[in-house]
Amino acid sequence: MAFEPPFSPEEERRLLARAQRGDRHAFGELVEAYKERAFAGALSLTQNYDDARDLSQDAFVKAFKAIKRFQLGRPFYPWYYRILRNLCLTHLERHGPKRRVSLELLVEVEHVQFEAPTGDVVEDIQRQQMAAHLRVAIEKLKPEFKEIIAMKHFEEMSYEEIAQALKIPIGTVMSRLFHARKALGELMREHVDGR
Amino acid sequence: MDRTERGANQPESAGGLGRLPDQRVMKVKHVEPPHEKMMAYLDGELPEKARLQFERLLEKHPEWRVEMADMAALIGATKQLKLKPPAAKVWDRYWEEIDNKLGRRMGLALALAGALILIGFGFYKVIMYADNDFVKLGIGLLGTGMLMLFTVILRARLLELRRDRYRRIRK
Repeated sequence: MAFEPPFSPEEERRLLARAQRGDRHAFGELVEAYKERAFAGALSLTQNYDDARDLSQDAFVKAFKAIKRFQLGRPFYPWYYRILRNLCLTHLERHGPKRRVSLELLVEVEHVQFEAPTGDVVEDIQRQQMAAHLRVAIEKLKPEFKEIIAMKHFEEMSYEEIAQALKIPIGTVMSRLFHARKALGELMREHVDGR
Repeated sequence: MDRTERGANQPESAGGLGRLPDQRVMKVKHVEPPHEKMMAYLDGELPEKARLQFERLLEKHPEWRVEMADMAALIGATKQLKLKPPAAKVWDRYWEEIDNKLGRRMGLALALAGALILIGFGFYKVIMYADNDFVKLGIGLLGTGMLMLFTVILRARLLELRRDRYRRIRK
């Protein structure tokens, strides 16, 4: 899934202003624009398609209820992501994850695929294997590392958006990404070395 | 005083016996690359000016290239990973369901407010016009009990919210 920037900041601001006046149709346009990204975010956190759908919807409901508190002029998605993250963490705390990496690595790999097959069967298989190893390695990362990798690569968020969503300085985003990637690289090397 | 001068002026005992001053000069301290900037550079998040500055710095430190190349390869591989799109049915009625939930909540809130007003008014009327003291007492106790129950539930809910460690995120 690739996420195109859905609106110009001006357009988004107009829709948000209308939503703040109670216009559900305007809010619906925001939902349509961000639903895939929201779903990806929830899926990264919960690793369950049904939960991801329900929780991303519930987060939109909560976002609409709280929309009057939203500061116009700021981007919508990082603000929404905080609500979504909160819901997902609460859900995981109450119900526990439905799948665990130690259970079936193959199931985890189901979520991941390389975007464009090359047409070369052997190369495609190697890439699939590499994808599987990478996914497993990502699953083994500390939660905060896993989250920032997912935000950067699966949700395609910019540093600025990540910083706003997690309420951390941009320097911390860079530093956390570096440590996450370093840990990921070490896990991949361990795998290649057969350790 | 630069590193060369410092090396040459150090007493021989500091460098160890038999070590020539030149050898001490050759031992250049390894400078760690600015990892944060490296991330921003590889992710294309550095503004033009900062990017050029970083590239100039890279030219001065060729020893960083191996780490850069490793990191770039990892980022390249990770970038190719995509979440598999869900089945199209995931999006069926996605917004409609949200819209329904929003409508339902609003309807419920309005209905609840209306019911509370009616119940309050009903209790008031019954107490005012009932000609039997027992009926008045019963209605009064029922009303008070319901009010107490409502307060207890509300207080429990507020406490639960206060204990919610993610509540700041919600705001």
